[in-house]
Amino acid sequence: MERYREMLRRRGEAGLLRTPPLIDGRDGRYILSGSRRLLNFSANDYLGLGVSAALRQKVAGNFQKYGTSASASRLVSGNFTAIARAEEAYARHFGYEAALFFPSGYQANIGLLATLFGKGDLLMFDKRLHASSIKGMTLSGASFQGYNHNDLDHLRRRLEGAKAAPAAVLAESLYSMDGDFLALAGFGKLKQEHGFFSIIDEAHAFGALGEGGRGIARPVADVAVGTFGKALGLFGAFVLMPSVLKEFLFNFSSPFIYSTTLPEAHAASALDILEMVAAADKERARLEDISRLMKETLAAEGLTVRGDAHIIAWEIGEERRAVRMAQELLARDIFVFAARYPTVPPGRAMLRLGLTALHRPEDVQGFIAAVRDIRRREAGPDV
Amino acid sequence: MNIFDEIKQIIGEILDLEAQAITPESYLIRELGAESIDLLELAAALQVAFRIEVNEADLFLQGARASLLPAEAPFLTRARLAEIAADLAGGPVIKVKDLVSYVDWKLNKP
Repeated sequence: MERYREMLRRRGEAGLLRTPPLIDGRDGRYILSGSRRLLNFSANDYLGLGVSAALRQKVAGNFQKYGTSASASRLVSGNFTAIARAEEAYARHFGYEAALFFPSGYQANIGLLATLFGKGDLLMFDKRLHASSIKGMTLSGASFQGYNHNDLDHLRRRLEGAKAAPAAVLAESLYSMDGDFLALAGFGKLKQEHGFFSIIDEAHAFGALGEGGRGIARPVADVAVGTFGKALGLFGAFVLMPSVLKEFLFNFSSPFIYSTTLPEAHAASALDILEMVAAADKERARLEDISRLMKETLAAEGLTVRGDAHIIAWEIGEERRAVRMAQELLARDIFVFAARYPTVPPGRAMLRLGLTALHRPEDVQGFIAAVRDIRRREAGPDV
Repeated sequence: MNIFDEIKQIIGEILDLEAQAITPESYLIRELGAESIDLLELAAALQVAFRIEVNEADLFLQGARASLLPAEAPFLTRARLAEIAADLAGGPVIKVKDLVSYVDWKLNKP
């Protein structure tokens, strides 16, 4: 036990011990914590489906109808028709040959990358790839070469400098921390020139972006990863891919094979959600508008902000400053996540804002008013 | 190619830097901007390039503190350890020359 205590102590000394507040419930764009009602800018519920009463009723009905558990792995007695049908519908909607559901996005990325690749393969990846993809990549045993975030010139140099062609290039369509899009045109051009296979994580894009919520990377993706836990308002994840890869994962992906499959009620709910997401043009438009308003308003305050869509990164720099800003906002009933080392590089701490279609212009005004107030009270000339 | 030149080339490719920007005295993280994912790749690349077994935590002095003892980093000289101990407040201390020392130590370990 001593070594664990010691490691925790060191974490604490570095000011990096994580102690998230207890959340007692949700109410639309608010979270309830103790007696407080906090305006939440730290969720991934981009369309508001995670708190939708209509969806809650449908999902409750599905659990009522199908029961609580699959009680088996997909490969034993858990290969339910309801799941196979939902997977077909997802493949069709997103424009791929096949889909496979996983219990979580983390597991999907591990189950995908660690299974498809191995010793002797080379993977190239954007350095801001999600931790689950990095873990899957390292578990695979493949060698790997990173390129600086969204720097396609660096990717090109790595492609040209490699002894052999990479087995795949890994990227995200909307980066979860930086909030920027994959440079689609340039990536597509490189893909055409070098003929590489691409795996694109669309976790933050599916549902929220593109026509019918289909994301933005289909033209450049051979395989895409999506999650139910963000814009889709449920839990679990899915991988979209050529049929042969689905069959391969079905037979060789250990995290998939040895997990109890998500239950039929999940699959039935996934089908309900697909209908709701396809019809959510109004919510997507609202999300786009409120995100633009937030970004422009922050920029007008002279703050350094990045973000091409509903994830906005407000760069603060110094870790303690970012944490203090988040604490000050919290004292004003606004919940924002301060991303710092090792989630982002040292000295590059940021506040990460996740917008949802439920946010209203007055939320943005309230946020800005709080920021102005905090900056006025700060001793320093600028935040 | 000597150890430093080879390491310089590897770092240059990973970080997309011109070789002349990298000297033995360059701070890997503070100056050259290496992130944790770069360290992961760098450790793996050194392993392949020099056919040595690389322990990432040892190599990058992860958890290095003011009390750093020679036994914790046997590839560094006492003088360098003292220098590091005096430099901890400035942020991540590892320099390119420390990587050279590590590889050299691994290659020549009895």
